Amino acid sequence: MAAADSCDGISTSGGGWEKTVTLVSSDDARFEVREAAASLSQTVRRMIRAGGDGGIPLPKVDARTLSTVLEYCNKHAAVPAPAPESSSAEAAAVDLEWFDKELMHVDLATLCSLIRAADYLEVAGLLDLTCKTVADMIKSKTAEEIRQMFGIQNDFTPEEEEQLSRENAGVFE
Amino acid sequence: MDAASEHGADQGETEDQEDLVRQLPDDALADVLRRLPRRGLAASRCVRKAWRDVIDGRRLLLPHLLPHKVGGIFINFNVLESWEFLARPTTTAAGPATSGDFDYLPDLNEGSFLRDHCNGLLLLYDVVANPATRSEEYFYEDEYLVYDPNVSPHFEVFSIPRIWHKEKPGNFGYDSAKDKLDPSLEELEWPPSQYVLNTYRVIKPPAVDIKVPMTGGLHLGRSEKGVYCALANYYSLLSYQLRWMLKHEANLNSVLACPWIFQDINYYDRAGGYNVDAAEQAKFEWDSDNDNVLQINSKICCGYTYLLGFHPYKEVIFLYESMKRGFAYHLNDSKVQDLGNMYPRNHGRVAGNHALVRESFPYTPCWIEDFPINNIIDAEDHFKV
Repeated sequence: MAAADSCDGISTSGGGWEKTVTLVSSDDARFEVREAAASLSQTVRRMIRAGGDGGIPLPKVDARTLSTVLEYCNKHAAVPAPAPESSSAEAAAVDLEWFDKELMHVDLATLCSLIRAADYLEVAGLLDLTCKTVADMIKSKTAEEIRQMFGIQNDFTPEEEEQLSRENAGVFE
Repeated sequence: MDAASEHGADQGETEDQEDLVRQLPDDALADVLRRLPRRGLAASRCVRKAWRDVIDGRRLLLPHLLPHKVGGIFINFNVLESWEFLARPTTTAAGPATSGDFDYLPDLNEGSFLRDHCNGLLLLYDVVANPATRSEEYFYEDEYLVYDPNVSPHFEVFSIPRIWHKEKPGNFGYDSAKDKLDPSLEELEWPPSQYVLNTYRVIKPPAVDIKVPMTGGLHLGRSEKGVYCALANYYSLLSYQLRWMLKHEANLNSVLACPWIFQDINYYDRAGGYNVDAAEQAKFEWDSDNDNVLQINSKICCGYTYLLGFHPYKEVIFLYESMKRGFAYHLNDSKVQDLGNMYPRNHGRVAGNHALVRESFPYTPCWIEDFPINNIIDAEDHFKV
């Protein structure tokens, strides 16, 4: 194996001779990922640059969440730079949109985990996608419906609630 | 599974879920919330204190309440009893339609006109009104309005003391009581040197070499990069940062399709009130980039050109031509957009040769409902003798 590939955490996989990195979740699961995909995470990209031994530790992300994040990264990193207006670029965009939509078919707790992970890992596209998905779930709900959805307790006093409704009167018009 | 354990499982799940949400960092929560429409944000404020604090602390509602868009232009015409409102109807804008007719104000004086506009609030003769939220407050007789919700929820209404023109002895209309000179004042320069302006800065007008007759004179206003000053007719634009710089010069005779709607309030008031239905309950919003762009060299300008004002957030000037037609002129690329007819019905008959625009105010809507009671100041308080 070439010297350049020998540093820990970065190895060269067989077929495509693509660089890979190993990411380690909070529960010690190891994921070998193409560097191009892992680099969609700004946090991982910085850690790759810094170098390290035995894989890149990601103590704030569990294996289940990380595997979904990596599914997203693998798919999005695989898309070649689009040649605008070509039919294949259009098809790829449609495919990606479909993929994103499918990926978001998860429960709210998973979505929140994904938001936290995307926030920590700085995967801008995924953060955008997950935040938008949750915002879409909230946007036409009342405060009480949102509380039920998230299992949140109301911590306002009746006086505070009255003030809130006064302040909101104009916005709800 | 029996009922009790099922309930227990539910509760456990709820607690887990709450933990998950509670652990959502404020940044991430704000990322979710900032994508909500106005109504969703308002509902989210009431969910729990932490959510309200994120929304208020990061001022997430403010862009919805103060959208930094031009919603139309209010115009005072000479002689006419009321102002007029020129605005673009669309069906896609968020927020309810704005009517320029303040028929909801119970005690509006006959012959009142607009004195000033600032961030969505309008100063009428004795009232400050918000046409977007249809709220108002009374008892002002001052001339200028300052309101910046980014700084304070309070608006201020104030006057700037001035020395009126005095006729010289022997001239027609000389009145010794009124026109008698005060020697101590005559020796002063403007700004008066023994006064100290605490709050307001005086900017001297640019020295402009006026080679062509100006119909509108100097027009001062705020736009994208600071204070601007423009000359009407053949016009130049100067911007003020540290000193006046000539930014743009164009001959509009060489530059001038679905227009804005002129609400013709004066006419409809006489005919029993402006009919908002006539404006199709339209939602007034204008796309300052794409609407009604005229081809350069499509020569339409054939008369006087006057300035209506500056777009507060883009380098765009609103102009009107021969008292008939408004347009928007982009300083960056000389693009011209047609705003359509802005001639009040019957204005010529009522006003004759005096059919002129007195003042005009590009209107930027503000949806902040809360109208904290008054903060009237008298600018004289800000002058120290």
